Amino acid sequence: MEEYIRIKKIIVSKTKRVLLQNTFLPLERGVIAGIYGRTGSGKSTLMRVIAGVKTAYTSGLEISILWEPANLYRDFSNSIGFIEQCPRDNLITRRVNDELFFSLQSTGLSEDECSEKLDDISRLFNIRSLRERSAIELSEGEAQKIAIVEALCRDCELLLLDEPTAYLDEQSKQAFVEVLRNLSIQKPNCRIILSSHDAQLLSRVCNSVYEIRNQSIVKIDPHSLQRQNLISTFDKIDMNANKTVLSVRNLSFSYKSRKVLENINLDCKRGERVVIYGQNGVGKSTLLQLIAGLMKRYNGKIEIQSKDIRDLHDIWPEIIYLAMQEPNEQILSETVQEELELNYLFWEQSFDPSLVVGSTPLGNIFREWNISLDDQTFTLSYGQKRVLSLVPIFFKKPKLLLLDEPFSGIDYELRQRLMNILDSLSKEGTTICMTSHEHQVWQISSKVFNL
Amino acid sequence: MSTKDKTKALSREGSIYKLHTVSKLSLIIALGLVFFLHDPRKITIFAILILALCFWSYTDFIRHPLKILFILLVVAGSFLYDWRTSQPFEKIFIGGARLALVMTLGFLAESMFSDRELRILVGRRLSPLLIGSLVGIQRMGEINKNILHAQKVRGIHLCWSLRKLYRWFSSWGYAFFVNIARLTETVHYQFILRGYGQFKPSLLLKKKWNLVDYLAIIITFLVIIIAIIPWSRISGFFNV
Repeated sequence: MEEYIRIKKIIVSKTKRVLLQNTFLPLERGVIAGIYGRTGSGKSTLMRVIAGVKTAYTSGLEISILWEPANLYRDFSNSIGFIEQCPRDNLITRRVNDELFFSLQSTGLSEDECSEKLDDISRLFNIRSLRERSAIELSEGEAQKIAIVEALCRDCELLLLDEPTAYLDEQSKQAFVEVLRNLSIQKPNCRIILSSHDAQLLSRVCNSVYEIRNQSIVKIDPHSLQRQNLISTFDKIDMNANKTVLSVRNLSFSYKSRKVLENINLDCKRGERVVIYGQNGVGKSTLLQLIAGLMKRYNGKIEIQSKDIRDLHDIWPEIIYLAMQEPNEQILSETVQEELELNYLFWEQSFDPSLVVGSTPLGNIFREWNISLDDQTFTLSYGQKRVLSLVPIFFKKPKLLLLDEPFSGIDYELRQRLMNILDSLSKEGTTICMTSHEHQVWQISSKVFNL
Repeated sequence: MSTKDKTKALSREGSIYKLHTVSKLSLIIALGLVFFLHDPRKITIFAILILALCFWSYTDFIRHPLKILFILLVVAGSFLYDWRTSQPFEKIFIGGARLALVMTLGFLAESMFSDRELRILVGRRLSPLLIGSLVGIQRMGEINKNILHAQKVRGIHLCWSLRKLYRWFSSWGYAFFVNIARLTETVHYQFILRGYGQFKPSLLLKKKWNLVDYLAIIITFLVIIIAIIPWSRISGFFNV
């Protein structure tokens, strides 16, 4: 019997925007189906709807869907594995070990049986050292690895993976591809749906790929998804003649007893674009937060324009901007307009809406990716939230721009637009320091720093 | 695994966290008797025992200076208290000490039971709420820190202009509560999706008994004896 999910209508009730209408997604056993689509097209919403999880953040998101046959997610909860896009949202216990054992023990397995089941996959993802740690101490990448290991160990009939590799390092991505391929062979009854912006990942692991386009789910050829390289007009010229904007000397930092950074030295010149990379949990985000002056207890020296960061506390928001890894926590207001106005209030200026509704680079992004000033911030998609968290850089034009995984959760076209804006900022003299696991970002940087 | 991780893992092997659920439960219930104690000398003994358990547990608890300070104050206060004469603040001392110790016991219980054990002990209906709120409380600090950082990087600072002050507080409040709501919602759904409700309580009893479990049971009995027998008999036995 053919299995499928039929969707009558999914709408964002506040704006009445229809995400999906009169369409269906076939479900095939032993097949990995990929979901592809633009930022804000409704991929994550679709995944949450299939999982049976309501997407409503009480303030205004409403979904109407017709299931065939109608089922309640509670009735088949143990058959569904669901990895949410935001890595930390997947963690429900306080200790990593409890997290990994939670579902397996719920099925009646003993501790030894669970350990046995987890061992192979734990080794592949290199998470053995994490198992005694507290869940809140994990980095985003480490949290994502734990969520993946937990979901892949279970005997699910339906596995839903929403951007599962967005924060993974290269080694873990390889492990993920390997495990997923084996899973589809070893468990032929399992249906896997994988949503991602990573065209290369989809073409490598998915048997069939669907694109959300014009409110419908359309089947596309996986091989048509070629690797999409970012194009930069930024020249890799010798920056040595330029002034040093950022200087990090012998920087060491520990979280309680856990040493994260040790004797780090880094120099960034004016207009330079530096990419920091390294394995999950190595301290990339911590380094950016230290440079941004958010944490004070460190050994060594951090200087911005030859001044110690500790002495810059009054003026540093005018010099530095940090776009954090988790956009949810960087958004502070109810609507997009209020969010933008908030910056201007503290800069003692008034907000001009024509900057985001006219034919400016930002206005074009807002229009093409369906972000309007009336939108409720927390009903936006993950990628749209990321754009919103980057908006202050358009107005502030900081001397040092720190971006923590700025391209995760956003589609290729939007990445390219943002890249063009970063290009123009670099040319105007802004130094950009960002973390990224993606080769295509490394290729367009002037310096790659391996942590 | 690094040397530090190994040391940490080894320490946790011998910690109270690895005890059998029954031993943990009996210890906590016995020490819970502190709430019904009236004798400051007994309260002092209970305080010392709870403190020892906190160190034995080697959990986040002992790394939290405020919690440790809390219980040390109770112990120090009870030592300073003159046992032989009646003091006007006796009731206040005993009431305060009892409350402080019960709260400390709560912290200890939270850190010594695994989520799975709590799930079973608290019950099917209450436990998602309890564990969800525990996860929420634990992450509240982290969320708050991130929001304050987000305000700082945006240049949104606390200042004396009434309008800005209002916007600072409202932006913090909005982001904080929305993030907590988001967290509670996802934790709740993940709980259900990951098979909550299908766990068999009998699995908890299958766990092996170790030597330290017997030690915990002995401590439990001692605690109950101290709580029940009048102080004069205890002091007479030890010739105090």
